[in-house]
Amino acid sequence: MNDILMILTACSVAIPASLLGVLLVSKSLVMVGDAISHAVLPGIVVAYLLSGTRDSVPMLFGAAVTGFLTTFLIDFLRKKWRIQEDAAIGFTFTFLFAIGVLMIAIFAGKNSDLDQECVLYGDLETSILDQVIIGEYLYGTRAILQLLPLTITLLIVIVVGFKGWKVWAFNPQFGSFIGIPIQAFHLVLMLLLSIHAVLSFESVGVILVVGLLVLPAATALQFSRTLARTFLYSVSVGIVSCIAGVFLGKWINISISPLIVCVNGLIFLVSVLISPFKKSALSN
Amino acid sequence: MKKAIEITDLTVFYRDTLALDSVSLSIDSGKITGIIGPNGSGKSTLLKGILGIIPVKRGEVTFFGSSLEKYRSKIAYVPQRESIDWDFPITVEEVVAMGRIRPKKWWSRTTLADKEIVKETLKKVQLSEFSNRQIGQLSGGQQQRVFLARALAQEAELIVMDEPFVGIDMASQESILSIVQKLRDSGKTVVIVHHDLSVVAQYFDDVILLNKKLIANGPIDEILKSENIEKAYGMTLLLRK
Repeated sequence: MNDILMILTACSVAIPASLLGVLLVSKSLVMVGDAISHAVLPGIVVAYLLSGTRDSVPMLFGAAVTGFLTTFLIDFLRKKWRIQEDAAIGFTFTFLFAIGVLMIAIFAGKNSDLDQECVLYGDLETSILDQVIIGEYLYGTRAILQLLPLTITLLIVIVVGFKGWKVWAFNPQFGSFIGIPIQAFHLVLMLLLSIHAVLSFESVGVILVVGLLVLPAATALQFSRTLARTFLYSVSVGIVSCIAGVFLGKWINISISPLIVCVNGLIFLVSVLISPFKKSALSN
Repeated sequence: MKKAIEITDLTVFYRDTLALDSVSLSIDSGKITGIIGPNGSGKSTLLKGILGIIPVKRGEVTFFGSSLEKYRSKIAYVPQRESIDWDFPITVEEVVAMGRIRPKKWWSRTTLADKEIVKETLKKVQLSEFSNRQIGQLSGGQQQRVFLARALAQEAELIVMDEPFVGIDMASQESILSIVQKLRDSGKTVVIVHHDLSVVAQYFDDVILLNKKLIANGPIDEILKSENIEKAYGMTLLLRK
């Protein structure tokens, strides 16, 4: 039972991550994804300090605010102060993340259930103990129940806006020219990314979540000719890595979330070697 | 002759550098017009400035007497090949189908009529057999034709192409030129940015010579005859193949 719960919890983080990841990787926004997932930390801490709980509503609000703040700050540094993009991203997220870490150290007292370990690495094994039981029935872990609405929202957003996402990722200039609100697509992605970062940090931490965002999508792109298939492959890789990670972790008795990311990394390496598209590039 | 585009005092800066200096000219409808100039002469800048893709310092542009906003849906823009990510997971057919997206209803499904137009268009540019290929698996000339096909699928009145003949084979060049001529013959206006006055330019009706500002503007024969071109340009290269 615990294994299934563990797999489901891991998948509830990995599935939306692998969907978001396709949009990030196909538009070369991996660094921005990395940035957002770290930069939401001060938002989480402020929300926690103000509300006194790890309740999701204030946390989501905090995440949305810091997510937008990050996006605007990067944009501002790049366009107005003419700082090169990678430096602007590097500055923004490390600075915000460091502020978050300091705030935890200073304000969140000893008895607080928000500590640096938890934020940085997460803990899948303990997060499944946080179960939602109503009456006699187990409805799932808190992580699953929080991430499920996000996953459903994300699916609707992707399916309904599919043509728009395709233009946004592939040829935004064409999109703006014919009158598609390209900037709005960008902001929606950043918002969903921020929310995902907040809801998943307890399970996998803000560092490993980047692996779940990037690796399944990068693997999928080695095989896929269309965006639709890339989404499908990416989610499949995400799920397979969660199942493999949980069983491997049980077998060798070791922490599960880093294992899931390791499995993802290995799958990615193999996929590059056997990819039908990259073969010629590698042999040259 | 009706004027397709009228430009008055168009001036563009990139940061502090003047890229386009007070250009005023008009482009006839129903013709193929080439915008020609050496690298860094502001020809792509002129194109992007006209189409509102980059901000302009000052100047006014009208399309058949209307503003860009009113005329936007009748313009198709074919981007420079190097601006495209050719590794992107998208097929030839999907790119062409983008031409059928309705701006105010971009989320709506592709209709059967749209699919038919996409199919016809692919046939016109001789890419039917490649419709399911990922775009990176095509030759340079085929890639250029994919974007021309997208422009055709838009069924635009004004087709604007940015350096369509760079790095493509002769067969594709001829195929593109013949499509462009057919478009002109059916009354459409075509504007092509190109880097010299060699072979391809012979197919243009009118030519605009540009080097940060307007050097000359008129029918191709007159421009080629003009003795001032070389002096004004200081670039014999433009006339060579």
